Amino acid sequence: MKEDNIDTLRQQDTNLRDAIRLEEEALPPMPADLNARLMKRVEEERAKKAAKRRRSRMLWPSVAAACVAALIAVFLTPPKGTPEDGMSTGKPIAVKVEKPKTEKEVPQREASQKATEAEVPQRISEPSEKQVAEQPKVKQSTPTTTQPLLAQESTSEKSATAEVAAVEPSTEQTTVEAPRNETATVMLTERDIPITRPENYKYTPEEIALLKQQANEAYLKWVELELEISKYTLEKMAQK
Amino acid sequence: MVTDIEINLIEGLKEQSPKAQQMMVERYGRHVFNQVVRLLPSVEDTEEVYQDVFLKVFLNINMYNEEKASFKTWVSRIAYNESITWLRHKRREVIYFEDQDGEAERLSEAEVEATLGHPDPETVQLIRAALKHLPPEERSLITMFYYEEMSVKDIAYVTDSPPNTIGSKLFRTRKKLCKIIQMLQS
Repeated sequence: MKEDNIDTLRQQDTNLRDAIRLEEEALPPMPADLNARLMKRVEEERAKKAAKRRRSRMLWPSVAAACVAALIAVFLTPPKGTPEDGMSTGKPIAVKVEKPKTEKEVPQREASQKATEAEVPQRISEPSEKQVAEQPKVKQSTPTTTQPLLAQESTSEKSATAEVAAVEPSTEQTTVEAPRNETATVMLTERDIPITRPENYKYTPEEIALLKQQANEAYLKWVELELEISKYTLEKMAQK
Repeated sequence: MVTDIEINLIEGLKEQSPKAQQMMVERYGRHVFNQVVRLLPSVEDTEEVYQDVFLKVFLNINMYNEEKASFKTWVSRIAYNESITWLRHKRREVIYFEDQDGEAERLSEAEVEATLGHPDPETVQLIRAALKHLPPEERSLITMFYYEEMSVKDIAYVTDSPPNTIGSKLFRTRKKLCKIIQMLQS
């Protein structure tokens, strides 16, 4: 179908042309205020766009500041596994432990213990529970075993008596293995630090036996103390 | 293809100049309104689409390519597309003549020429009545061809169809009109 052939239709179909012309003339007129309304809408759209642009311009600095703050926070916050805590590295930690002069100290402590026992009547005015808590400490300070206590931190959850037995830190007990009268360098690994490994949460049978023994000793000591307190009270009453 | 006035106008529109926009509306407003009102059923709808057309023109002025079509044709294309989109979205149910049995297609060219060609006021009135039974797209097509005297190429650009399809549609619409006139006469 050629363009010329189609163009001849325009000349040929006079009736159709006239009819369309009449139809176009009969179309509803354009409202007079339509263009004014259109220009008003254009203005409104422009104002809206300008406001949006202004808002976004005001928003961007805040967003940028927030991003910078977040980045600074991310970079300044140390990661969880920093070598500061020495837990997660898995490397053995060399700890220089000043070995106390145990041979001299132990007799001194025994002497001080005796002195403490002798002082009991003088201190009797203090609450007896406090003394009960202190007494096992004195006893515990003397190392009694070559094995280090591994689960001392969680003893409070196990039992009250065990708590009494395990209050004293195990530094002195570790040093028992080291050569005496020397400054020893002890290599500690994560395994030696009780809280870091889940398997350390459980007690070995030896540890349980030791805990029981310590608890029994503490209990006996407490009974002895109670007896002495009673004696002292009776004496006081008799004097009165 | 593009006059100096149009070049200045386009430059002003690209700069979002209110003066150029006002000028554009005054220059092409009537043309756009007629094109839209031809397709849409009411003046209220036409006013809405009319505004949308100009907003779209102002917004997409940078997309105008003078090598493809004249500025007026480009504006007509936007108006046509906006109107067709509006019709599709609103889905107004209007009954049009559809040549389902192909009876219009069987009419000979001589019959069509006799009906549409020989000047006769009565036939003109019948054609006007028949035009109301055509779908909006076909009515718009023959108006662009016979009244606005647009080239097939420009009509193809406005309706986004190949020029050959426009030619075929024109012949088919003429036959359809004849068929409607015959139906109205009988």
